[in-house]
Amino acid sequence: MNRVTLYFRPHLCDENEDWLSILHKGTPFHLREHESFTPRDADLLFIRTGCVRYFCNTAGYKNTLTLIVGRHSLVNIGGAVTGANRFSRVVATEPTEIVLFSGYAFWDVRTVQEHPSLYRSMAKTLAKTIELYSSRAHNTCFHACVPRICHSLLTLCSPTYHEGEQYITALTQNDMALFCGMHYVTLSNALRLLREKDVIGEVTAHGIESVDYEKLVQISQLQLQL
Amino acid sequence: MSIYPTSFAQLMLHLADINEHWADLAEGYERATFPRGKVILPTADYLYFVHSGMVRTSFTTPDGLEWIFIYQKDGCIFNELGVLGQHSKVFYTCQTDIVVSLIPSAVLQSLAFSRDYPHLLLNLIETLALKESICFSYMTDLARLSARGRVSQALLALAREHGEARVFVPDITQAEIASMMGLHPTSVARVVRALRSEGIIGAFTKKRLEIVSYDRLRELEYESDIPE
Repeated sequence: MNRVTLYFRPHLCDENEDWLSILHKGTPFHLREHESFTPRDADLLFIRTGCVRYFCNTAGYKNTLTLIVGRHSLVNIGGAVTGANRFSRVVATEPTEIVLFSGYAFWDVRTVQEHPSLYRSMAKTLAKTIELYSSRAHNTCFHACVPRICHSLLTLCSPTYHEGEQYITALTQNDMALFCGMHYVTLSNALRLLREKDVIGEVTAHGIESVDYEKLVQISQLQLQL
Repeated sequence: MSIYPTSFAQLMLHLADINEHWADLAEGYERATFPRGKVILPTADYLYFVHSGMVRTSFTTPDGLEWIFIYQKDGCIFNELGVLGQHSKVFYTCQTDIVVSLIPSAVLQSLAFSRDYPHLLLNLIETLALKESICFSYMTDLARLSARGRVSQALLALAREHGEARVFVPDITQAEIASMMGLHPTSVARVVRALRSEGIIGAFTKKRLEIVSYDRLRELEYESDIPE
């Protein structure tokens, strides 16, 4: 049996490297670990180094963890584009350098003509976010707990470790529960079941040890039931 | 500049005319007519512009049923995810006969496009932001709501599309609402019957929806059966 270690990765990482060329037009600032920042309506945030948890308010007035965003990626594109306040905030998971742009500065046709790659990069990131959200909604609405967790783990983890890639060093089970759309206790019980059936080993803040990757994929695709 | 107010991520069931400025560009490319019921799979090759008709975007559920995400009418583009490199599991079905233009994805990648149609690139990003917002709504609120909460959200979304009128033509069946909200049609029928007996709504057919009490419907829209 081929067993691997899964490493947690940010949902978005190195997505908007084209934006590195215009960082001088933004305002840099730093966040300490666990420090939070609330962007204004049209603020666009570029994570230069580090990593943040991105929270958004739902229409039901709940502030919920939405994404984990790593280096060289934009946060709050949707809010900045529409100029609508989504009551979002970011919380640094490690010391993080952010460059803040005003979305208004980018919202004219001349800037599009001068820097088309910035906008294509923004569109691709939005497409990726739509894919993540719709896949998560589908998973939450239609899948039972165990396949739902397996699916979430697969979107959050990499089965390979490469020097120079960015990995998450402190993902809690509470974070996982929020991504899976379930209660913390339910997640904990389902992880225990997966451990008992020898699908996964220990779950740490960095990743999951000794995983039967093939089985994890089969469960997420509903080809195997525990 | 916003095409729709999205102060909060809100559920929307139908989109129309949000990309009408693409019509000029679309005129220069191949037109195709697809019959009602035709399934169009996502492709990296074309962005579709709807000249007339209605198309629905769906996923397949684990039970092999269709989960409808949104309906799009005249003046909308679809398959943005396909041309932007996402290997999405969505598919598109013609709700009516439709006439579309097939805009090659290579056109969107060209320098000439951003030079000559910068407003369309901005509109594409706005459209994606709007759809992201709708996905967020499905992912957060809907996935955690009770059947009553989901149906109430759907009715309020329809009402918003019609200026919160007291009576309007929803142009959607209860079965389609069920498919969008991840519910069995019987569950939707049961909730609708209860809402009617409580005097919150009146008639609900494809051609007529009567909202009697918006206040009471709003009280139900976040009803959840999942513990905090």
